Amino acid sequence: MDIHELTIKKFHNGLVQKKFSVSEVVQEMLDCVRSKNEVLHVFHSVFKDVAIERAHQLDNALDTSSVHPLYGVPFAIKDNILMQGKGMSASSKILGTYTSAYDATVIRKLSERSAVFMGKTNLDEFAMGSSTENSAYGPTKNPLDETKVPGGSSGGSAAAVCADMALGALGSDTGGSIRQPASFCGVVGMKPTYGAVSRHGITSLASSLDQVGPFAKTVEDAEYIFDAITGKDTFDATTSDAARSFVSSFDAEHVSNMTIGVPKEYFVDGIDPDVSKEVMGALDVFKKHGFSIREISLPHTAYALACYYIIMPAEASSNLARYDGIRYGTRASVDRLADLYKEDRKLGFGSETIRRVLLGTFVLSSGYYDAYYAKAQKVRRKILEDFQKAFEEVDVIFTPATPSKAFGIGEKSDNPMDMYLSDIFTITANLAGVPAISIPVRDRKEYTKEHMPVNFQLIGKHFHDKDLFLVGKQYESIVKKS
Amino acid sequence: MPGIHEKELKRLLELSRIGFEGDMQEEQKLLGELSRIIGYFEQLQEVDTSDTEPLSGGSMHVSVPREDSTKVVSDEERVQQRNFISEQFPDQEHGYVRVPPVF
Repeated sequence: MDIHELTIKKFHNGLVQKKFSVSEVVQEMLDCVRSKNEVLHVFHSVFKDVAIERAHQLDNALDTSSVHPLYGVPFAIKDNILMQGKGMSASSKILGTYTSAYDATVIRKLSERSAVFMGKTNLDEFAMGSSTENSAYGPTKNPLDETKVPGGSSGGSAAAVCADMALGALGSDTGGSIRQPASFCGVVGMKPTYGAVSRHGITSLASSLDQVGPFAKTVEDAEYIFDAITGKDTFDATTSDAARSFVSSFDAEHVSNMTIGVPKEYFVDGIDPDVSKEVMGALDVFKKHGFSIREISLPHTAYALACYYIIMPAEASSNLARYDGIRYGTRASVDRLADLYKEDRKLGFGSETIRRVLLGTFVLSSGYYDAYYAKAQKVRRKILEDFQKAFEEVDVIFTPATPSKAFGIGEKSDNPMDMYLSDIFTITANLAGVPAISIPVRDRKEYTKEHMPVNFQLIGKHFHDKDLFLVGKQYESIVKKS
Repeated sequence: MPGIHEKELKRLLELSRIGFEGDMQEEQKLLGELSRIIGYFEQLQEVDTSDTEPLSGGSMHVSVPREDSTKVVSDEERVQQRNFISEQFPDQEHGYVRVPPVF
């Protein structure tokens, strides 16, 4: 049993056929963590003893006549998701030794399906960033090339799956923080429709944009995870059962009846020529296998980045107001209460966090609110309307996932705008609330240091998340090497 | 000219309770970065939004009610929950948060 070959599906089959045990696989992955984590810095914390104990319990309780797809599956969890009794740092100094008081709903759901939690993964501080370099505890390295970033903000989770330290992972996606690192690491990453997955227990960044989603080696695996975590939750009033109960108009035999829209605004100059070539290759696969391809227009695409970088920091500045060292986290030593807030936040927040909190404060402040925030909200509606109009003609939309392959560590840290531009293809899905999935163009086994991964992205209609998995699985079955 | 000035930056730092006194070089760098980003926002003025309503949320839900019922928690559990939280206060006394004086 080679963990590099294992997927959730193969692991499940192996358990049922008694080819190996949960403990064997968990132990081998923990060994992998032990040998590589110091260099790659994927995990903040590893739950070694708890994972082994849980694995033994699950082996003893295993009833091969009825095994949930996620039974015993080792998971890596982004360290902005609460797990009761475990630390949650959001990769920030300000949280100090904060210990979570409760489980996030997604954690409870995975627990109920007998998943095994391997540990908490590194991220950009408070999920702000596209490279995991904004972590207060140091960057994560791309497992395929240690000089490159794994992407961000869920870089640790993407790397964990890429490096065989877990079979599945959870991340959060506010502007591409699952889909972009999935692309940089050559794994599958998916952002559900806004409201499809509960945000209860997820450290809020931008409440109208955040969603939790899966990382996995295959689309099929990612779907098992999605199925487990989606659903209405009384703790999160923005949730819905619509994705869970959605019935597709397409079935597995007639997936190619779907029409794929290709928005011309996503295929412009500035994309890495290698990425262009690979992504067009993926589109060719769809063409050759009977899908209708139609050129469409999403006219407000060019304004999405400005729109996003007004709305997200505005919401973030609100959500991060709670981090003040009063009730939890690290606290400075000062004489006056007013100074306490200022010192705690100056010392506890990293530079990108401070930048975004200030930007958010600016666009919401009196005198600027109308010109920036109110304006951005209107442009946001225009972007939503672009998608709604396009989806009258097509069933899914095809784009590159990122404008480049994984860039070098330190390469973009001098100019924030440069870093923000790596999100151009992913932010629109968050602004519109639609689901989107990032899928490797080639079979993952082809990706090496010399041939770094490239993913394409599929964007779907609200709550038609299952259609994305349908198309993705079809693609996978075509390009898969045995 | 779009962008922000030093006085504006000081106001923002005050509003967001982030201390930056006495770090002039860092402040200048931050000023430059913020001004560049804010300058990038100007392009939104090109979009005609005269007939557009703002979109504030991610969800299309309106009012999401729940059952008007309460969960009964035992006294023991309540104390346990409260202790778990108060044990995390950086400075506490008898379960109350202690902070420096206001004046």
